Amino acid sequence: MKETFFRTLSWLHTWAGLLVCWVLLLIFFAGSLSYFRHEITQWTEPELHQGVYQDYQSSTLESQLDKGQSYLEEHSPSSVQRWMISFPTERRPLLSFSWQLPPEKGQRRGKVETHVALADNSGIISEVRESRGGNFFYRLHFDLHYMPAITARYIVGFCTMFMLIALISGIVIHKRIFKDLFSFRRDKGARSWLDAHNVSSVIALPYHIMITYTGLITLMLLYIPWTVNTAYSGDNQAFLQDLNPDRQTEKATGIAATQVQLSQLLPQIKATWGDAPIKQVIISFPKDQNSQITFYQNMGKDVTDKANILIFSGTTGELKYASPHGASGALATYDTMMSLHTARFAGPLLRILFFFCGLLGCAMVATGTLMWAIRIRQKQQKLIDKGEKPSLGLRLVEGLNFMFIIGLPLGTVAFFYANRVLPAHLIGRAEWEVHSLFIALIAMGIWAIFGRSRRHWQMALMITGILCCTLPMLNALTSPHNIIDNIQSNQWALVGFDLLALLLGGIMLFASQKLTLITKAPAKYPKRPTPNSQNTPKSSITTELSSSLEEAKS
Amino acid sequence: MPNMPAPDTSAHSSNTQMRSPVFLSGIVQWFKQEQSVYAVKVFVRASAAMLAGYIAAATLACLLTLILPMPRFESTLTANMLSFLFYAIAIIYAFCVRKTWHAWRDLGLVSLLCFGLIKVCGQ
Repeated sequence: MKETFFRTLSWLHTWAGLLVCWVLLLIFFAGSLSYFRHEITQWTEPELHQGVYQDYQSSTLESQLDKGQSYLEEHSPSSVQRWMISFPTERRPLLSFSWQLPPEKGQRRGKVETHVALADNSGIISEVRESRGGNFFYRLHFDLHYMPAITARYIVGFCTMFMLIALISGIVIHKRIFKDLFSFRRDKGARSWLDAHNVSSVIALPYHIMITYTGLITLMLLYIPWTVNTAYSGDNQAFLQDLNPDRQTEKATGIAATQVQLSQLLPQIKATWGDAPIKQVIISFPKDQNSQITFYQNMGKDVTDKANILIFSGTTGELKYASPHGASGALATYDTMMSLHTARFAGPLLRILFFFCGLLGCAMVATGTLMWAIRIRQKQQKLIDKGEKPSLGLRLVEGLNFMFIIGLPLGTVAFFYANRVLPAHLIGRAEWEVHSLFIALIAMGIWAIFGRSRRHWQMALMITGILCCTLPMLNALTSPHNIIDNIQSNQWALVGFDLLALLLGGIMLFASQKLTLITKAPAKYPKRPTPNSQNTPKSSITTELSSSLEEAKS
Repeated sequence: MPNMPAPDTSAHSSNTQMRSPVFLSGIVQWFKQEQSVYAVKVFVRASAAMLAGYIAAATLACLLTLILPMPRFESTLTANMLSFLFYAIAIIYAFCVRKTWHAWRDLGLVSLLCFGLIKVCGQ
């Protein structure tokens, strides 16, 4: 493309990064939040903040199973596809009974209704507000929203490939990688943004590479299905059976049969698994001849993501399948990759580290796009000084920067506010929570049409920061407990949510404060060149990039 | 900006050329301009990277599923996991190869070779 390899990759880095930057920002942002999927879900269901948390106890397993089975038999409609009994785990310390209805027309999976048992065994909470909670961010991460899931996954995969190329080329053009890790020159205009971009990318570089590549691998069978066609001569079912041996291929027969008592299977489970904790029991097609019972072991901190399961026949109680002990090398690698991406093995601290690495990824994308906007503006500076309007491209880039960089956090905060403020029985409540996120995003887009100057950034950051900081207060007002109660009752997930909201809100307020300082001294610290500033073209990023490249070459 | 294309100007010049009465000669003129040549080059390389690169990576992965000395399930997974690496290499190759049309030629040849080997190995 260009004269040298370095120049070509530098060009490639710019365009691969920039063309899809806003989608990447959305994906990174939603992905980082999905590390706290269960914690966010817990926060969005304040009905469950009192009296339901319990630890897993193997001694009560039998009575819990019996209770769950009789409750489901009594309360679930007869058309359900499956029953689920979930036992308390570290991240979701609840005993819950749920059922899945058959999918409605045009939907791939049916709605799940969940009822939660009180910890002291005195009853069941069946009225929980409708909210998608953390699952929304998890789905947004790869299914986006307002479009068919498969289309969205292709878009996400396409953008991820761009990201991979941007990463590889970024490493190649970045010869002084170690030195730049320690250099951050603040208040140096575009140079500072470049440094910020370098620091945010380089510090978390292993994470960025890992998350991008494993991200592609999570959906690899969608992106490159031809290998299965070749190896299995088009017999995709056989491959899926190899991949998920527990996959149920049988359909319901429609012939009624008596369901085996779940607690009767416990001795068999003990014989195979010993005292390993059980995470969940799923009964598919209850009371049907083809009914099937699957027990999932709680794998805890295992790095591979393979489910350890036992499958019984639902009518006879006969053991039909048990997960083999050792997995093959390829499968273990695949599972580990999946697990690395989802961080299911991570304890609280590692999870927080992953979250902040994800935020660094957001920062990497955001600083990249900001540099782009500065570069276009510098190119047009002379024309703008003469009184001409900035070009459409510049206005678009700046506007979209404003919309996404401010709009995503603001939208998330709006989502949480909607979760608590909307009436609990509103029809389509869960959907309106989601709409509120996108309404906030679009509102920021409209704001950006009218003004994108530093003062506007500052104001928008301030609003978002204040709203984020008041989330703990909102929680205290709209749920039975405030943060102090939660600390006393060891509800660290809820406490952590509040603290993180305070921290992130604080950072945003700090950033907006910082912007004030810069506004007051624009001549000294030109971050975004104002029309009057004597900005020399020397500080243009591309010039610097190429000069640093020449330095590197020599 | 030595290493930045300027799509704005090329789009602009193409517009002015399009408006000229002789439509065909306008197109010819457009192709003669340096900016347009650049735009075409970018398009050829980008399409080679995305399409031919994908096909090359996919056929190479398919070939691997057949020739790796493992059970078919494992070789499928292995090849599939590696395929994105092949794709990334193919994309970078498409932009780095010296002559523009070589991007299509070389990636096409790799695909054809892999495809032929698949046909041979598949029997």
